Amino acid sequence: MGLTQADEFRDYRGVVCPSNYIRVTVDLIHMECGKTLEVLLDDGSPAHNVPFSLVKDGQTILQKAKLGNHWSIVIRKDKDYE
Amino acid sequence: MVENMDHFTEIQIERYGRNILLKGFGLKGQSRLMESKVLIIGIGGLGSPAALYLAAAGVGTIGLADGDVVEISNLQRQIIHDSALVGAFKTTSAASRIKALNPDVRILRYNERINAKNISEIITEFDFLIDGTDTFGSKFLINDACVKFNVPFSHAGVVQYVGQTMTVVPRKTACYRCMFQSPPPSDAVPNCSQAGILGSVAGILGCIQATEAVKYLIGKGDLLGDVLLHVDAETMEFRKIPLKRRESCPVCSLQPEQIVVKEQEEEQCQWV
Repeated sequence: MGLTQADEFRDYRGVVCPSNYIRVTVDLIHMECGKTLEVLLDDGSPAHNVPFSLVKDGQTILQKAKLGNHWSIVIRKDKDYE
Repeated sequence: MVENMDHFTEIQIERYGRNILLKGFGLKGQSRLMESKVLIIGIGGLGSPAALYLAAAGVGTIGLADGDVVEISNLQRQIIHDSALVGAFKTTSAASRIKALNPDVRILRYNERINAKNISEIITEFDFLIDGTDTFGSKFLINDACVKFNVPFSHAGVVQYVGQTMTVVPRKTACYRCMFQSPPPSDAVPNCSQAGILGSVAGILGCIQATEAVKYLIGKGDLLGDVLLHVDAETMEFRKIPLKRRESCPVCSLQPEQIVVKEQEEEQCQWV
């Protein structure tokens, strides 16, 4: 269960870069634009790299909150993937 | 939204992650690759690296066509084979290595020399062809059949420190016969046992062929169409020579039904 009211939730703690980003991308591919996804990511590179790459893809990070040794990131899908 | 992405497993996402991350590749490109069929004719110095990189990239079906067995003298450049399989069919040796590298790949083996009788039945099963053969006769045969049956292919040849490669998309780009009308006289070009070949030069060209196949299959980038890439490893010069379709080309200027696929007179080992 997610901590926010996002439409979808995934726990990618323990998944290393870049697999975590690819998995989030796959999740977003299956979602409609405007929908939101909350993901849990490890502290360090995952919490930095994944949101950075998603913004480059044209998605919006609505929230980024540190929860102990991991992060909760809420993404809004703004752009379809080709 | 991108369709047909549900078939990716967790392991495939891990395995192909570096492909998927590439701009213009993504899940769609990976999906296309996994549904594609590539035939490699000649599992030698060119075909070895091509087969390995295509298998690693996740091409769904790889056809291996070669009637030869592995010889110890092959191992200096034909890196898909190893000492333990000297004497085995090259297709057997290569299939074993490919399966170890990527069990997802479906392999079709043709333990026979490609000739005018069997080529049409084999090549029409595939989306793209890698010409890794070692005779001019085979190269002309492959060109003629691919143009007739509309199978795009990558041509390459290497000898000593040099190599050349071009990609042919039938009736869209120049074909091999637009450049060379017929095989050269038998004494015009030194054969491989006389001239030698640096193994890594075959590797460079084979890798370029694999890259062209991937680009064609995912629809990314500019192919080596209407251009001959000449590589001189001694000086490390890469030179692109522009080509044009020849209006009088004896093959690609004809309608498919007019093209006669036949054995070429020249059958001497001149390349890898």
